[in-house]
Amino acid sequence: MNITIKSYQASIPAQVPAQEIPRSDNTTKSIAENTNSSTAATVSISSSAQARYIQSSATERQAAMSQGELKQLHSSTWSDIYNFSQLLGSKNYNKDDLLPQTDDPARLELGKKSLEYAISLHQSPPGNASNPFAGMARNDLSAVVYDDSGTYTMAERYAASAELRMQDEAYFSSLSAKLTNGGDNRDFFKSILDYFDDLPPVEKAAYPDGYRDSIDSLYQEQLDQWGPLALIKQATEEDTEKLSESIFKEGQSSQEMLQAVLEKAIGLSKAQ
Amino acid sequence: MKLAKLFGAAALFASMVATAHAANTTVTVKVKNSTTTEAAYTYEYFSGSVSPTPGSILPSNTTTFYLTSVADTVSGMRFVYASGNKKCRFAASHQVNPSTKVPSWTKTGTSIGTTRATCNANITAAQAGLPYNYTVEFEIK
Repeated sequence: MNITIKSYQASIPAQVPAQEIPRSDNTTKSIAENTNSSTAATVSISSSAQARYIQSSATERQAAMSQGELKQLHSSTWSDIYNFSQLLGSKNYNKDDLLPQTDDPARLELGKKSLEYAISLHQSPPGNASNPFAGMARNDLSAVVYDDSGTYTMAERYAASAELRMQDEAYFSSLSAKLTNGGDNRDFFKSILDYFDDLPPVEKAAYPDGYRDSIDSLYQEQLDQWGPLALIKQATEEDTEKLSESIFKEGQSSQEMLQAVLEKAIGLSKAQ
Repeated sequence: MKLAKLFGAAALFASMVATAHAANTTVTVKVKNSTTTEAAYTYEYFSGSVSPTPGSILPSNTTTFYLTSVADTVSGMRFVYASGNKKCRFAASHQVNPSTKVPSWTKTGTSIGTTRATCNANITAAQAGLPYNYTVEFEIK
């Protein structure tokens, strides 16, 4: 199993609306009043979120920031998210104060759905409101979460953070399957390096100095001990089977592994 | 082609036998937030590298991260999760008796907040042999 961060990046519709999303001081218009407009009829929540992301300058902004500024942004973001959660937990808030100040129906819908989702998470037992950011690519979610420019409401950033964390949790939970009984963790450490290398600058800044080197060092130790990962991957591609997984099961003794290797080798020989 | 593959598989096994010695213990750490608000993470101590860096946990959700120890004879961790006034200090470790080579594991969850929390800690999986990988699950509620 070769899982990379890209494996759970959801596809975002290419035909993202490019129109400017209007802002207006008139916040009293309801969604129903605007649903006849062509924009409201064709813009989905996910594409609207993507449109906002495109407008966001988070990526460019992070590229220009120092390590200290990135660490500060990371820290303040999670402090804001924590405080927002405490606010929802206290139930001492006015919903209207937590919605975007706009009369654009798609924009308002995204804000409302995000808030409904965030509130449902804080119910006991949790409600079942859906997350409007579900399925968005991981680093697009990250751009929303760490955009403190006011482009997004706290509810939207919270909902995006929830989806980001759930995608990460799914990814890291899946890595458990790569931990082998005999200690061959090449694929495990490679997956962690791939994940780290794909992170945006603000998330990399949250890791201790020298973090990548320490993981890479563990990975290199694994390569020294078990050989190049590419050899196994090459065999996997040729045989359309997972050589390492199909041969070595958790809990096998050395004798069982030897038997498995021989059976596999014989099988490969017969297959050609 | 046949011989190359056969040799490749045999060489792979040979390298495993030749290098089946000391390795790093990998600890799978799962933390469940059973409170109704975010649980914020605070670092205290890790013996080794942690992947990914732990962070806040959504209400009613779980996070998973990994600690890779610097040696297979000892590992350790201690950190705090706080949700409002509830706060849990979690810790776990393993060590191998140098003379008997017998491993042992510890785990604790202690409520340290101003509102009493239930702080559960369990070792849910452990290898009796090298490299002594284990799984520890914590819960704040």
